[in-house]
Amino acid sequence: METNRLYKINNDSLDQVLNIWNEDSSVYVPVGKGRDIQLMPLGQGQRTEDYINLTLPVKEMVFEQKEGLFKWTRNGEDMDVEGLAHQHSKNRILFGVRACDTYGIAYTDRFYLGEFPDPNYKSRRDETIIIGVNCLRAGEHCFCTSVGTGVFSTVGHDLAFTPFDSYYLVEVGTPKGQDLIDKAESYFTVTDESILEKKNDLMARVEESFPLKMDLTNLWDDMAKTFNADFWLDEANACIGCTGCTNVCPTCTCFNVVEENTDENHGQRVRYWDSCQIDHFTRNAEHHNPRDAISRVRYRIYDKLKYIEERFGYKGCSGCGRCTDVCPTYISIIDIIGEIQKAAKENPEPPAIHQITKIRHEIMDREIRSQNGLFSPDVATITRVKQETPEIKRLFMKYDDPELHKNYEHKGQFFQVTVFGEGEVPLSIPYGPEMTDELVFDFKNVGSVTEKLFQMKEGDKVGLRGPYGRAFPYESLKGRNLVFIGSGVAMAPLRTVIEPVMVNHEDFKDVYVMASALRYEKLLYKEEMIEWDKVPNLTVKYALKDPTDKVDAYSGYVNDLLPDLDLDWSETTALLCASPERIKKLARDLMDLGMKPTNILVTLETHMRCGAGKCGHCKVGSHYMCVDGPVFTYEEMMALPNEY
Amino acid sequence: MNDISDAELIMVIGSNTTEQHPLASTRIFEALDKGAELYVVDPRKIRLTDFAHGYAPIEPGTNLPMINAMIHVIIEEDLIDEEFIKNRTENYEEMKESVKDCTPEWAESISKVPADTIRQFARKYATTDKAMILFTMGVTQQTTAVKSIRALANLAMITGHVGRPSTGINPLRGQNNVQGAGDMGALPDFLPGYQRPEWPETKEHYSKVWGDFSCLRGNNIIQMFNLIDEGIMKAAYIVGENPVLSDPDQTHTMHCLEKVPFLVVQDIFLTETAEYADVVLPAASFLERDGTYTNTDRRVQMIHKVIEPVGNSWPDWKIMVEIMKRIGMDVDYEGPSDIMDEINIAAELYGGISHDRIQEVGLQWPCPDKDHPGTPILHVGEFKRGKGLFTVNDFEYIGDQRSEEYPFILTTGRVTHQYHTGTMTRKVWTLALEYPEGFVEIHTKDAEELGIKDHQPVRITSARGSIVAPAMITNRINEKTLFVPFHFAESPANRLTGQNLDPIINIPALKVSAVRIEVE
Amino acid sequence: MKRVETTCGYCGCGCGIYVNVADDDTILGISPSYNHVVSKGKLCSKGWHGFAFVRDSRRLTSPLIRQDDGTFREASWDEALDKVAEGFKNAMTDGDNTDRIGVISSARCTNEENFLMAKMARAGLRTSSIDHCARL
Repeated sequence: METNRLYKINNDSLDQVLNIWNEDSSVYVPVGKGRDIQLMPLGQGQRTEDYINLTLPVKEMVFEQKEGLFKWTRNGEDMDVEGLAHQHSKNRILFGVRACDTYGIAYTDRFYLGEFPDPNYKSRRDETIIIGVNCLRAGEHCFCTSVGTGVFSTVGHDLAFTPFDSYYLVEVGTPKGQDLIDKAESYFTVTDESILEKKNDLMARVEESFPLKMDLTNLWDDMAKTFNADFWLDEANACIGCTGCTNVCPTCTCFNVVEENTDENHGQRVRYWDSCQIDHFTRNAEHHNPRDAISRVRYRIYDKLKYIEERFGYKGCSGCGRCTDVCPTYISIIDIIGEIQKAAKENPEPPAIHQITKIRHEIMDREIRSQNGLFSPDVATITRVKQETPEIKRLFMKYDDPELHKNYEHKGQFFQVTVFGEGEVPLSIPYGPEMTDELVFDFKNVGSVTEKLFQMKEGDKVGLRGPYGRAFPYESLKGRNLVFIGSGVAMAPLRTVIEPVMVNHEDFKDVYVMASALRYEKLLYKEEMIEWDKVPNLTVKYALKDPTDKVDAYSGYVNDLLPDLDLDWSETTALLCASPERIKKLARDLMDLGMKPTNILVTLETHMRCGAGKCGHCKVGSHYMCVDGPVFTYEEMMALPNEY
Repeated sequence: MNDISDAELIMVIGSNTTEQHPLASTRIFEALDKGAELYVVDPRKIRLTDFAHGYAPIEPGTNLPMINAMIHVIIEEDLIDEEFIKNRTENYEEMKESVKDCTPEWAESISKVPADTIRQFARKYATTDKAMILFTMGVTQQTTAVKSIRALANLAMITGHVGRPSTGINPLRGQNNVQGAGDMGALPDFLPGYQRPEWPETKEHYSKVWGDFSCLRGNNIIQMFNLIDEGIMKAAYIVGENPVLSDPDQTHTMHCLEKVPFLVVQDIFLTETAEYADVVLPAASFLERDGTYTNTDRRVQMIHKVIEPVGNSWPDWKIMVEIMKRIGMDVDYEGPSDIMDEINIAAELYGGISHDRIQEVGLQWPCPDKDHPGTPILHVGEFKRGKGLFTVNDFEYIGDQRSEEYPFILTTGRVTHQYHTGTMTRKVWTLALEYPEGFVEIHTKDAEELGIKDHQPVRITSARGSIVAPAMITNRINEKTLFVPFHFAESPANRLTGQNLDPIINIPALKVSAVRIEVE
Repeated sequence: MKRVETTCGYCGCGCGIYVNVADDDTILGISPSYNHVVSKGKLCSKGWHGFAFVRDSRRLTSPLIRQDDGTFREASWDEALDKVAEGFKNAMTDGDNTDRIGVISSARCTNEENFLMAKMARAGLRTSSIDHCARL
């Protein structure tokens, strides 16, 4: 079948065709009065053509406001996990979708189906057909023409209808669309390309009629020059965290996961739409929130207008204006664009390095090996428990399904560990590639989930998803000097490299492991470090606040020890794992010693929820800590805004 | 609500509007966009103050002196609306005499609001045509509640800011149906439709609708608890209310709930109050039944059932009808619409309001008959009693004051993402995450003096009890003043509040308690 | 799917909302109402999210009666309602009961329910002691 054919259909025939399509699928049409227009199943209310846009973007049909991810059931000793990807799936045809929303669907398709495809989204998207109906007039806050995603639909639609006086022009976008035409072919007449001229004329007239026409050519430059402009405080003061803007945005994709338990043996993990405009979105365990009110409000605008396009290569805002419609305190993205342009002209600041550095990570096609899908954990049983320090424990575990241990590939930096009924936490992988039979995690008791983990014993069940994250680039370290610096429990992510370095120590030059903590008791891997020190070219150095007689330790900051290390710093790679402030101090000292920032590797950990680059909680600037990181070079770290 | 958007001046007293009535604050923002001016009176620098043209950082409990001083300024500077006073009011001279000595300097000494600020507020209010006052619990949860509101009425009347669009004194009602509950006579001193039990017409009218009934001025909630304590009240029926967290002096409340011989609690969750019940009745939530709510605009709106009642819970009206039958009443309602039919007959205010008429848009009472379109503005042309009465409202303070043992004043309130005792909102994932625990706001300087760090648990003690909560250090509160939201059961603000009451209507002074604070 | 128009049950603004319900009766979420005279398409965080408690596992799903040992046991509606009526009747006298029985109604209940409470209190239990949380 040829696609991209052009058809006409008479206005009077449309209802009959919708009925024909409704025989095999559920057809949804715009229904409502005044400005409350929403998609409803055919027959439940009168279809209307008199509307600017739907209240909620079409994403509500494929990425539901609330959906179950998996169900868990404890049967005595066993734990059963059932993925819920196909909940609410059914064949649907959505008719009446505007260009800003078809763009939105094209966006969410690329976001959810690329790089760790989302099974829940996919199950519904595969069964949904989008029929766009192009606009003939603009709403008060419409600016799709300024952004370039409208006014007529160019992507995302299976069929696109353009209204003329007595008929619609129908353009086929995909084979699915063609199939629909074929089902009701007697109502469609083929037409030739000459109609496209008429369509373009109409489009030009509609675009001309838009009250809002903004010139966004230099927007990124302007944004780089106004990151700290005064007007952001006014916007931040107004935001009451209602989350309306992100709910109604066609390109907002963030969510949070919540445990909803029926009782102690049954529960579900569900996901809800979440919003970066609320305080807890980036809040970490110990009251630390990398984003304050100004960062938060600014972040949404920068993400939509700049960061998304920087990372993915396609626009983050479709110009629908709904966020401006629903804000109770009149924060308007349109006004803000104006403010940015005005401030850039009147009062520009020197652009911050993180706004102008172009570092873009490869978007890779990644998949996860698992039984139940991306968001459903695989069940593992705890085999051994070891107490490392009073606050840090080590758990050894094996997958219940032995297949998952066969051909196990050691890649990634962390796993998402689930305590059924309580929640999930990201834990670093502190072991090397040789451990494929058993998995190990070291963790500190800091919150409700780790507290439960702390109480677990042999035989208890947990859930595992992963491994995720960009790991340390082991191969590139060969032949170089290495300096590992980790404080307390932060030594765990470094161990994943230290282990193979130790085994293959001839591949490396001089290796130093610098362990720092307040007290000797708080150090992780105390016995292992004594063994590591025995390796010929590996030396362990300790920097402790309180003195001890257990090892020869320097009393003070680990930074002080660096100049005395007898190393050619240009042949050295440093691997740092500590809090962001410590990392910066260490990096500065290392660069003073002659190191290049590309040879300083760090791990940046932020609040994470899904681990797979979907939920948005770990985003810093344009990058996802879970997918683009958590390992970065210091140069890349400097290209991120200071919100971690 | 539209009136707020069209106002030229909005004075917000004791209302943290962006947190408690966000959609009312939307209207304030609309007005600001059109050039209106905003004046805020609050002991904390609430979000609205970032947009205000004037801010009075008032000492908790001292609204009345400031209002009287404003009246004094307006009279002294001859900014009164003589026409209005002459034609529509009575008793002006007596009121004028009573505020003779209420100078801004005098008010400043009590309220800590600079005298010039008081003058600014007064002048601006008097000289702006469409000036309206919005207030909530900051004015009413005080021992001077009634007097303050009457003083506000005086203020509005001397400047003619009544009975016209975008004027008036407008309470923003806190709960979805607190307006309706009062309208429907869930009050000891009114029958449905605000008919006083003492009026002979009331007894006559209701005898026709209800037969025999108790027609006294009953006990209010505070008095009920006192009667329980004295062993006189033998039974209580509490519906949709959690006095353990929402009533003042928690220790006393808990003691009374324990003591009352027979307690029935009807609610959607097993609340802290339900734990004391002899019988607990599971009710359906607002998504599980039909009915009407009356909002702060006096607009009666429908709620529609979305899902069936969860588990074996019943809609409240059904439970009530069953109880009514079993205590011998002859009642027969098939649904809420039937009940509204009886309301039409009983309460003239709701005379013409029926479920059919309000499916699309609610109607604002008074709406006396089936053709009446509802009433957007009250007191147009004439007050209910005829002429507006000026009242004398002398300030004499009763209640907690700072002392050596209790050098701080505690004021209580709400946060936007939580609702009242948190029965519902603490179970909503995102609202609970936003505020997982309570807190106490303390000024930076005070925190420094006491060695208190941010998030550190601190103990707050009053004469009634003691709680522990994490400290939140901020510059957005007056010195020697603390703020605790009352949503959190583990740090219940109402363990600290007391039974200092407004003598006329017995509203507890939840906004003023003397406390001390120390590191825990 | 269905979308039921109703009024938010939180503050006194009374904003308009649509509750979106999937075919299996799961409540998906909220759409705002642009047509609504008060809210005009806007909502606060409670309006957008506040519905999510309705099917929480802690909801009271059965009447409860306190036993002699102080704990609750589940009971049928008939049993519970009979016990309520019995308890009230025990507290009532032949005359006025204003000081003997107290009724606290709810600002979360509808107008119809509050009216019934007023009627039950005054005409059924013959007490004028009925109040609600207006002061709070």
